[in-house]
Amino acid sequence: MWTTNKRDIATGILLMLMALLLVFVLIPFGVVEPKKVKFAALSPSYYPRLVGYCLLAIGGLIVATRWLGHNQTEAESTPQQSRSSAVLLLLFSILLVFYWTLPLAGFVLGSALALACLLLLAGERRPLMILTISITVPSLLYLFFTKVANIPIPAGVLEPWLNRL
Amino acid sequence: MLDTLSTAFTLFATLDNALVLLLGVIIGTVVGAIPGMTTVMAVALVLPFTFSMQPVTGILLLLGVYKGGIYGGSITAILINTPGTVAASCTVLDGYPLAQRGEARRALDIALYSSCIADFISNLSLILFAGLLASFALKFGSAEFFTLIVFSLTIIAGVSGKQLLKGFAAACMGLLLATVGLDLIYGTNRFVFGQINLMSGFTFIPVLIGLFAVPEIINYFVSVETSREKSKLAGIGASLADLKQCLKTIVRGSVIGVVLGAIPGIGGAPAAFLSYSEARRNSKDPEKFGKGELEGVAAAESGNNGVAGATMIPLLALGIPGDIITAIILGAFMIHGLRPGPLMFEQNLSLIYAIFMGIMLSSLFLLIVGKISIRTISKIADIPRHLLFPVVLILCVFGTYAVNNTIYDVGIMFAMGLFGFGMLKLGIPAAPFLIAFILGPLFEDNFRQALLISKGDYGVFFSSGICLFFWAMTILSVGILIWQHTAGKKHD
Repeated sequence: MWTTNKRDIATGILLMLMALLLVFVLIPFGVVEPKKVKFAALSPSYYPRLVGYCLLAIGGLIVATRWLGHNQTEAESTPQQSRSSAVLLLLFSILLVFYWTLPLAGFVLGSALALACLLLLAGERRPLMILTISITVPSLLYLFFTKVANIPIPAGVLEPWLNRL
Repeated sequence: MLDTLSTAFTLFATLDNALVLLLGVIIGTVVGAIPGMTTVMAVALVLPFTFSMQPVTGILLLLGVYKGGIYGGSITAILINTPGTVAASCTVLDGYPLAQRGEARRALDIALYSSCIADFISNLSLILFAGLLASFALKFGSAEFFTLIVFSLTIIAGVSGKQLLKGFAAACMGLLLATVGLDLIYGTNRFVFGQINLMSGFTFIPVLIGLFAVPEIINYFVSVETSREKSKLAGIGASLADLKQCLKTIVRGSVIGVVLGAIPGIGGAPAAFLSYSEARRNSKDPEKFGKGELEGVAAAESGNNGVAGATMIPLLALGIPGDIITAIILGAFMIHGLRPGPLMFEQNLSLIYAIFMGIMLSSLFLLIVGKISIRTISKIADIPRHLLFPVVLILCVFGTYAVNNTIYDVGIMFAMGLFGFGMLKLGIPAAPFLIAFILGPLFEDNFRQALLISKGDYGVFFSSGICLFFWAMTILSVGILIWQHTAGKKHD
């Protein structure tokens, strides 16, 4: 059984690991130090390092307080969780495919397909409703941004047709 | 004096001015309500249309868009947990929980009344205290800014609720995310790892939408079937009693907005957070904040709208633009051959008075446009969620792309959405992350700039009355929060 105490301990450990990763890996490799710094507080790494130490301390405090505390309410679990995980995986897959195909498919076609999948996943079963929303919403948004707001939106494969509008 | 007022009235009282101002408020409200379409973007888009207009007409159009935009941001913040503008990010904290409880209309009404009252107070301050506030604002250096931001950050403890440590952890992560990009002083890379897109850091809107709207949508998809549908979310509007209950908070928020708005470079978001923090601190039920407290919406909206008129103070009195929008308005003045500043008060006083008259009228137009828009837009809350949420996600994609015209931002929004969903599951509050992310750059930059000026002497942070005032307020605020936290634990 997964209790809120255990979840919080895991959170605290995760935060500490993040802080250690930041201080010992991300800052040394990700922050470019100038050759000469007048004093420590002006260094580009001073402030992120300080925040990293704070995060480490907070993570430690969370672990310590929950370790000493009593077990609290049990988090909900099992049958629904497995369903949730499947939906979550499906949702992430839709979003990932949507994102990667955006430059090629364009915003109208990509959004229409993604919207149809999302509506199905959300429980909508009426084909006409799915078709109407999937086509009208991206088309209207495209027309608004390109024609009213003058913001160019990539049309992808539909560019030859949409440019005529 | 009477001659000047009479000339000003002749300049202002034309049908063109009234129509253009109304149109500006409508455009601003609509644009502000679209996630990703910022008020800056709307003002910039409208600017070319003002070139052929009379100076007063053109400037009133820009001011109308500005004021409408600031209010408009609150609409989607309340209805779909997606702030249309950065300034409306604080409105999400209580606005969306109210909408979830079926009180969207009430929240929208209070947001509108707060916005209009704050806007009116702000305009009045601009007219009456422009000179006084401008000279006060000029006393703000890096050290004063830093102490002000430290005081503003105390709200993190307030919005963390019972998860105080997790709230601090979220704030640390927000501060860290804000450090990505070029270092302000040395211009070297921080956490860029060769990615050109990361050199300018993370844009507010993708992070905002990703952190608030996307996790809510993901959570909807994975939630249990039976708890999904809720009907008639719009509910009834706010009563006079609601307004009376919030009036003190609105006036306080407006004053905070006016004072912070007069300081160049602060903007609406810190004013909203500070106003929210003060409202929570002064409330009899501070624990209700963040869970759908009407006063929370009033505080956030009065704070960010209080800024609107006041940002014109440094512009008109000193010729200094306080933010990007007033910089665009400064450009409009210059296109018409006018140079805001002390000299303008001597040479073009009637024009300034005409603008003041228009600004006062804009508060009334905001109320009318807001009331009409609430009636129509609040119906969004009644749309079945299984249809609304997928559409909102697509709207977020378009809106996020529109900010910088880059698909990379869409990726950032999705990534932040996953991150936000993870935080939700681990019980880490998102609000402290957002507050720290918004205030973080101001916090660090002013800290380092003050030290650079003082050659490393930390005494600079205690060198003026303003600094000492904010330190005292910070200590008081933290003391009260700790007391409330320990008292709450004992009560539990």
